[in-house]
Amino acid sequence: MGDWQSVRRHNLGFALLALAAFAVSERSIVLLATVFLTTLASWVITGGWRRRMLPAWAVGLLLFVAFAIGFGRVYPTPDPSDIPSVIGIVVSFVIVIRMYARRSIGDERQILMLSSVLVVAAALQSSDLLVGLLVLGATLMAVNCIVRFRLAANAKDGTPVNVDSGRVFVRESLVQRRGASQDLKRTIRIAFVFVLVMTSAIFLFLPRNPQPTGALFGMAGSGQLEFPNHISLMSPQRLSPSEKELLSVAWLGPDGNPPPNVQVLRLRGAILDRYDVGAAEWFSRRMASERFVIVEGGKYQSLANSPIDERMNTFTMRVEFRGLYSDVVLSPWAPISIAGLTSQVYVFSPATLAVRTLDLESAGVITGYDLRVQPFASESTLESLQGEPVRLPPIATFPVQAVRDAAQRIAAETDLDSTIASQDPAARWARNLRLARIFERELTSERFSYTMDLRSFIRRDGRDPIDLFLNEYRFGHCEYFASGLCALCQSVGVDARIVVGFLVDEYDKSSQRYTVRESDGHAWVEVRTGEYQWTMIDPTPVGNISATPPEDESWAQIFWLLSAPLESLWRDQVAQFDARAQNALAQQANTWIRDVMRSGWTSIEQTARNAGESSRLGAYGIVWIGSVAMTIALSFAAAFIGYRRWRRAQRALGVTRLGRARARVAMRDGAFYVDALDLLDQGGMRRPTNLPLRSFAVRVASEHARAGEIFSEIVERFYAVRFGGQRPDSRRRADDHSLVVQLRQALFATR
Amino acid sequence: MIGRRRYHLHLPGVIFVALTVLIGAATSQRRGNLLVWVFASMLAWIIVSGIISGGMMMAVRMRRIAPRSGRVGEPLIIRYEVTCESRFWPIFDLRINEQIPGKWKSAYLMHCRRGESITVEGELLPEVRGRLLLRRSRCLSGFPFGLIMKSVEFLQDSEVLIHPKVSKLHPQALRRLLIARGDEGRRMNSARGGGDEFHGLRDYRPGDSLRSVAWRRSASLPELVVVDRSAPIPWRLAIALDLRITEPAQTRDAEEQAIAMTASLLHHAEQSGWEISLEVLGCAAIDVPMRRGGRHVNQILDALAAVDLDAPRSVNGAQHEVRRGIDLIIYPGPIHSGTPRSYGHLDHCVAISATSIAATCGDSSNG
Repeated sequence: MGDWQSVRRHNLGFALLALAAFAVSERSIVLLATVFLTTLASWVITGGWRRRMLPAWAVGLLLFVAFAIGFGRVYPTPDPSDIPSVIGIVVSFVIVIRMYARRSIGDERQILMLSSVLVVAAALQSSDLLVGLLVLGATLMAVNCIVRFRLAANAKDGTPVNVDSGRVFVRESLVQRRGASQDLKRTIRIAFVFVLVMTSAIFLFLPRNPQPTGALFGMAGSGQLEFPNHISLMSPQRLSPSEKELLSVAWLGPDGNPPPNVQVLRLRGAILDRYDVGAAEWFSRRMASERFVIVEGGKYQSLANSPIDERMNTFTMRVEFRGLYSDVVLSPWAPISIAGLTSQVYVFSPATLAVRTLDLESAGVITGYDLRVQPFASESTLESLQGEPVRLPPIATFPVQAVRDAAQRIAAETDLDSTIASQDPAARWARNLRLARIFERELTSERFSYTMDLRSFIRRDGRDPIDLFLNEYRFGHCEYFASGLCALCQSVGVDARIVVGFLVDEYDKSSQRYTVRESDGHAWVEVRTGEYQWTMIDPTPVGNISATPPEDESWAQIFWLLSAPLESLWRDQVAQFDARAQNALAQQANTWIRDVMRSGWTSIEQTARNAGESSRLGAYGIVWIGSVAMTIALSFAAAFIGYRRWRRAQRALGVTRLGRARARVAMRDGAFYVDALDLLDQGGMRRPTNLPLRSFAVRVASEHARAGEIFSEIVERFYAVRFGGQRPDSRRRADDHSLVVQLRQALFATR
Repeated sequence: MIGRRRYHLHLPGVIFVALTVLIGAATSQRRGNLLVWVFASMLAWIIVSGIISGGMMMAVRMRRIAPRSGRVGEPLIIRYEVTCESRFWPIFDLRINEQIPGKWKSAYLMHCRRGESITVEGELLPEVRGRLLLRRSRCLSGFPFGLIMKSVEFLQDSEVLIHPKVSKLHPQALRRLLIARGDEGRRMNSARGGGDEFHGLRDYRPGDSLRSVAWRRSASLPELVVVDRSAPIPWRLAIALDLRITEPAQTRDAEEQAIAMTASLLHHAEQSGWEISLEVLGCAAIDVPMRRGGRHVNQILDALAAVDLDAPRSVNGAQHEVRRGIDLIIYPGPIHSGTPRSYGHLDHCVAISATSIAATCGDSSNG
């Protein structure tokens, strides 16, 4: 097979990988089947004995059609998020068309570049396991393709040779050169390894984007140590929540045993009640009423100001950290006391009932905590926790006019006067709940849909994302639904806040523990319905909380359903590898190195001590052990050097295939020749392997007359010994050695 | 001697780096870790390209094997012996360039195994006559990805004499030029000795070859006689090239044309079996005696190649000891040169300008 045939074969492989990666990233089985099979067939149709190719006019026409289709997809509704997809589709068609056209060097180069563009488009579209594997394969395949392409393209002018009619240039082929193909394969393999190692290293150490793009599923992208304390709606995109295990939770009833029926736990993390229009993000105010809670190791410390009756309806929650390193204490409503394995200082916010640790330095090493919780806390309990009625600062009307208008419009459908909040507390709380329920009903209606793919959620004309969600797009995930409800409530004076945490329903009966995964992340809303009471309202459409809509299900995901662990591993270790994981990895590496060094040193110390005791050398045992170790190391080094020199001498004398006895004799008699070659090597004259000895001697003479003269004599002596059947006696061997001495003097005495 | 080692970023490399930067910018905007992988692999490609080409080029040793001479307008083949001294990296995709002006076709080496030496050829099309000094050769390779070009310069002094351009002349060119002198250019006698032509008969002497015995004639004579053979004395052409400085001075192009025409005439004469000699007036000690043969032509062309027009020359009219027997004097300039030249006692020879020769003797088929 010629070089160009090889280049085409590898180019086809690269193109197929790129096409498959893009089609899978698009989650389109039709696209995959069409372009993949069509491209594969091109090898048979255009490369076989038929060699049928499209005429130039047909290629031009098809390319025009492909570009027209691409333009047609973009023109009517220009959407930046569609650009990678459209580019990918057009490029896919162009590659297929090119595969059926007559291909020159330029066309092969074009196919290489287009395939690379397709790989980038695929990487932009998705981070799924299958796409990842295909992109990885394409990356390595590209190494092979480009190396072969460059060699074949550069050799096109070839090497000049003389023929009868003059000099012509023939194309040199790797296939024709002895050992070239093996050398190339070996070099490509080395390049593979280098690229893989370097890519992995850069991937591990490349600083990640510290800007969060979401609170829950954006944890992986936030690069922060803490549980996210805000929700950003600035950059909507397709989310792929990880199955990474974050916490393990034991839930014990008032009797100290797990409840017989598995309940769904809502673990509250961050409480967000303010919206920043410019940054399009929710954040929480720092309350002045926060207080410190000092917990001694193993003892429960009450969070309340006054005693709470813990006899009734008090549950215990034991939390173990698995993959989450946070200062936020996740807790169901309403925590009443806390205990840690170690002494710790916590900060308790009475207004929100949120707890966090103060000791940031130890945030990464908290192994867990215990909480006592009253899910149905009475008014008196809440009063004990909060001390006095929570005096929230007056919540300003939500700062986006379009959202306020939407709230008025929805509320107008009822008989409530949404514009005036009642001064009577009881009426106010009832109004709050009723309006919140109305808004919840609106958001959970069929007009709104749940999706985690927000690539088409494009911010336009400076419009606020919540406005776009409520009035135009009407799709999003839980953060958008919670934001929408909270914004609507605040627009009509209802006290509302967003809670970010986990909705946990995965219960392992054998270990009697809940497993909290990153995909359990959720956001909901709490609406104030009493002096101390807040009511949880979840506006996210039921049943879609952690599932993707059917149209978003890909065949690839179904295919990989059976290999969920692999998918999970991919997501946790690769797709969701972020600054936090980088930090954890660095800490692990640091700990591992420290432990290894410490244990190594301890082991050496122990060995030395034992040796000292057994030999009764006392304090000098370490010196003795060190001496022995050094002697052994030096012996190994000397043996290694000797072995290498012996092998080199064998190769130089060409006795590798001789019997042991004959080889030994040849090595003894021909040692002077090996020494001479070593000397010349040191003198900067290494013998090329393909240069005959006498020619090499002439070359040596051209650079150093005296050395050349001596070496010529050595060569003649060597021929006589090695191939002439001479058996030198000890005197003759001494003479041969004296030639080497003369050569050394000739080479180095004048320098 | 190994000179500088350098990395060069050329256009494909710049484009690749720009794309890498763009994708890097995209990774900072997107959360997709796969995009980070693509970005990392692009960075890795740049680094690995530098590592492999750097490791490969560290082991390249190159020796120029330059020819003694070349000719203007004809490809000059320069050979390079490339050795791969690495025990790890073979050499791939190596290009060798000379750091000289002129049309140069690089020597290309596709592959050289570890420890192997391979000779490759490059082509130079010399445009100027004279001594061509070759000093710096550059080995260049973009292997493996062509993103970064790595070069190593080798310093090795070589000198190549570039002969003047030899034009093809009309077959009757010499006859046309020397017609005024009749057949004086040829000796009428031939010398006894080697050759194939019959010279005469003589008595046999011991040592004569039996094959030279004239058997039929000896049959009628008491003694053996042998055939004496001789070779014809070839035509002779002695050319003097007049490069003395005139008033007004001749242009450098005209002088070069005269040199080239002299070379062409002498080459043509030698090809026709003539004995040739050359004398250059105005330049010091360039006098090549009358001989024939390819080696002699090369000697003459060497002499013409070595003519240094920048060196001090004598002026027109100055006494110049011109050898007797010169058949043709060639001087630079147009057909009717403004200033008549004085050749003293050489009034029996033909003096003609280079342009005239080109007009009268140029091969029509040669343009």
